[in-house]
Amino acid sequence: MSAAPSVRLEGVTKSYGDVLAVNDVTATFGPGVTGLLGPNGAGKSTLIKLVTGMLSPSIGRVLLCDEPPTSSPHVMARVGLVPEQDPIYPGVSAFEVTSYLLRLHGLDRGDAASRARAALERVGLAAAMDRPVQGYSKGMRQRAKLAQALAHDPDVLVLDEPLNGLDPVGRREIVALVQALGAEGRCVVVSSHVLHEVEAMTRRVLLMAHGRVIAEGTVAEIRRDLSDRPLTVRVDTPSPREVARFAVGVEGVLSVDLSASDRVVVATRRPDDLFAAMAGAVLGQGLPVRSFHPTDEGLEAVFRYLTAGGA
Amino acid sequence: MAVVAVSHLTKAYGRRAPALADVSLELGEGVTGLLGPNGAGKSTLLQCVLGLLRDFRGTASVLGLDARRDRLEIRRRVGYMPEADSLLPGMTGVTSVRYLGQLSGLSRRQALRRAHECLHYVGLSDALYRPGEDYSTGMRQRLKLAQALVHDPDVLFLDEPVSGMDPAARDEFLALVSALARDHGKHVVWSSHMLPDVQRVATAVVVLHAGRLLGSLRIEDLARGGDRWRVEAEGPEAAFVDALARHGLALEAGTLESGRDGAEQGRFAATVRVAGPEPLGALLRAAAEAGARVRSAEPLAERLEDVFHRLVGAAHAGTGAS
Amino acid sequence: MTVHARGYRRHEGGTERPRLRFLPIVAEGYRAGTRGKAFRRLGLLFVVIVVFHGVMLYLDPAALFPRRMRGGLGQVTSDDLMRRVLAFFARSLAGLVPLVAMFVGAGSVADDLRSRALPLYLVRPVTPTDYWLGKVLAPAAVTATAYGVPFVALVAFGVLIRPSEEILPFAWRHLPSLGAVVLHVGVTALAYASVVVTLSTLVGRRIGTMVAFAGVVYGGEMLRLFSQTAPPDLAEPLRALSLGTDARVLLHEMLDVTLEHSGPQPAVTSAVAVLAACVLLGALVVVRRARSVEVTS
Repeated sequence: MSAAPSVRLEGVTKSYGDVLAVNDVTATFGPGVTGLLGPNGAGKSTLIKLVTGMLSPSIGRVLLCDEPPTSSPHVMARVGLVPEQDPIYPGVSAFEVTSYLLRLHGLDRGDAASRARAALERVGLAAAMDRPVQGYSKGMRQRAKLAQALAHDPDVLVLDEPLNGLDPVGRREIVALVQALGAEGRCVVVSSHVLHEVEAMTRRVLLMAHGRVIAEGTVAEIRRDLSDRPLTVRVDTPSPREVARFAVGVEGVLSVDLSASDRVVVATRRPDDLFAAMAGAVLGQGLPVRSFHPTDEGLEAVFRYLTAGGA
Repeated sequence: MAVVAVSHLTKAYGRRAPALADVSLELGEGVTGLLGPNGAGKSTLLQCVLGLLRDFRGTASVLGLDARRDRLEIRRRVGYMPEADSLLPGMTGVTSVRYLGQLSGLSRRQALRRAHECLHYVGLSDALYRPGEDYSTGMRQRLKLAQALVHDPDVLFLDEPVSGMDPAARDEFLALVSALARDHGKHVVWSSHMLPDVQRVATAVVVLHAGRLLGSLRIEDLARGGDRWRVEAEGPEAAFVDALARHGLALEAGTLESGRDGAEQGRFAATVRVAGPEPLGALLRAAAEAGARVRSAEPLAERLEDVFHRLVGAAHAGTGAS
Repeated sequence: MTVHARGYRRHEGGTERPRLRFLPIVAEGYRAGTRGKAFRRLGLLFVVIVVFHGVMLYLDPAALFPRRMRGGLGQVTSDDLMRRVLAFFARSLAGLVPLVAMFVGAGSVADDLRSRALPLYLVRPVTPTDYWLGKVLAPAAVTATAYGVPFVALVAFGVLIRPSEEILPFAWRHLPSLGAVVLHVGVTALAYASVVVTLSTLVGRRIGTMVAFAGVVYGGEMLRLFSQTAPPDLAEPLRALSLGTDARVLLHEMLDVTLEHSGPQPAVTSAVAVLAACVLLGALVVVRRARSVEVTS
């Protein structure tokens, strides 16, 4: 076994004519699941094509398991891709496509058949694998693509919107499958617009906008680095004014929103002080608080802060 | 009054298992989520209701209009946004909305006026006179909403309306639809696989499965948490767990996530059953004893996703046993 | 109140309940069809041809083209000349008229299918029949304009340059000719439009439709020309397969003219049967396609 599964981009820039799609990106995707996020037109699709060797960078270099994919084709055997578009194979079944692709990887007929069957069973297509792909629903096509990407047991998996078109049952199954693939030590890169599903798969994300990487790391790390954004804490209470009087006395609190009748929303620059003071007040002075929780710590909030207004 | 009422609706294609089998349901005012796995019969239901299919058994009506007899009147009062990436070829945004307005019975001039209003409303002011082919995915979804709104229908049927949109666009879209229902009296049927979106926008949901009605519920009934609390804290994890036990607070097995978010050493989260008159007080007391700082403590809100999977799972178990 | 409601506004203008729900489809298709480059270029060509025929009416055609017109236009009274020039004009344009229908109509249903626009129509108060009528009448109207306007202009020109006679009696006598021309133009346009829209529905692509349509129209014309070599019981059906000739046979019948050098001609009844079949087949194909559309994917 050669180098550990990873994808490294070193100062990668990609342009088509006068269109700049990816701008000086340096990043590493290691083992485990990483979410690749960004608004439409952020350069995610181009990045995926660079990572899978379908494009070569205009400037910089891409290393797949420490080798450049465009010059050493054999590392491509260690990559699996679920593209966003549906490839069209008229009149053939998912099993035929998958085993055919395996034979392109150099497997003999018997091996290819058994590996294809295993991959299709893993994505939940056991019953339908011998039917023509044309009759598949959107969700089944998505599973078929996933099986094709998985069948040759790649170390690096790149999934572009893998949940597109799946129904809730399918979404849950595929989320679990992606988690399992990451837990097996593969390097899994998932691009998606549906943040709560990315959140269900992984805490580690890479955020792009305007062709550049604007944040990477776990959601909590990124949130902590956004020090210019005070933490917003929602406090449910039967007497908002009393809680508000308490909150304005706490060091670091910037604003208290009293517009609702059953809660206050406190913005603070020093969340630890607020949490400590509140616990003290509830236990010591009987401050009437029912419950509290930060509202902008999750991926949705982090994404919004980072992509709004080009900050 | 029921916006959509269906009674004993049965529709089969050929000899296959019926797409809808004796379904009776009512969709009320406001935003209603129409949920169900693929093949549940959502599309067939919509086609029956719009009068696009007429050879069904049972009755279907929209705003009291019979789906067979008054189908053209129904379509005048309904705006439909298809899931498919539909586009009128070779037309600008304004032209296509104006044209569809005319097909819904507006005069050309009124339709042109409405087309501009609706496109401004959905936020396409900058792209009015550009060809629809040049629109991005998110813009096309907005265009389809404008097309569904142009004749000012009372009911909107939206089929997977936010698919392919990025998070910011999706937030805006949800806000637009909420405002239409809240401030302008539109009734919305929102058919989707994205359950968290439905939970945010809908007031009630209906779940179909394998051609049958599986259940319906109001979103506000979801919020009641019960005695399960979600707690997130920083500090000595083992001491906190011990303190919880001393205070008779049961940590739910398998919910403890320690070292959450990797780098955040000492941060952990768990689901705890908290009975008694002062649940928050009890939690904070246990944390104080252990020297841990609670960052978040709230009754665990039930997610629509959980209810959905429970319903569908039960249905599968039921069919498996029979 | 000085602050007006922003955001969405309800529509107070009401809606009509139009009886002819397909009219917006025709109007939109006509607008799109007459704006295209192909229409303008073909229109220019038509003007050139109409001027040529005007010249024929004005001068003695037999003197100009003794060989071509022998036994055709020469040595006839002016009334006859008028009718024969009209018939001759129809024949001169025979190859061009289907091109108008082809360029305008090839994309009509095919483009809708490709961009999945059909559901956008059918969830509105538009029935499959409305859709068919709208989609057929639009290219028919464009074709009729391109073909009919020069044709009627030629009739008018003929009336203006009538030989030494009062204008009113002459015009009166030629009113049936005008009627025949209008009817012929309408039938021709409708038949071509029906065929092109049918093919557009079946083929589903613009270019493929053009090829298929050219095959049907010019292939039909070939079959007619070669019908003489076919066995006798096949000859009549083959003769009727050229749509353009079928429509012209009607014109000749109404004008009561026979043009020489026109090749084999079908009987009026077979011509009418073929033309009607084209329209009915189109209705069947398009309506069926629109019925089977699924509004959800």
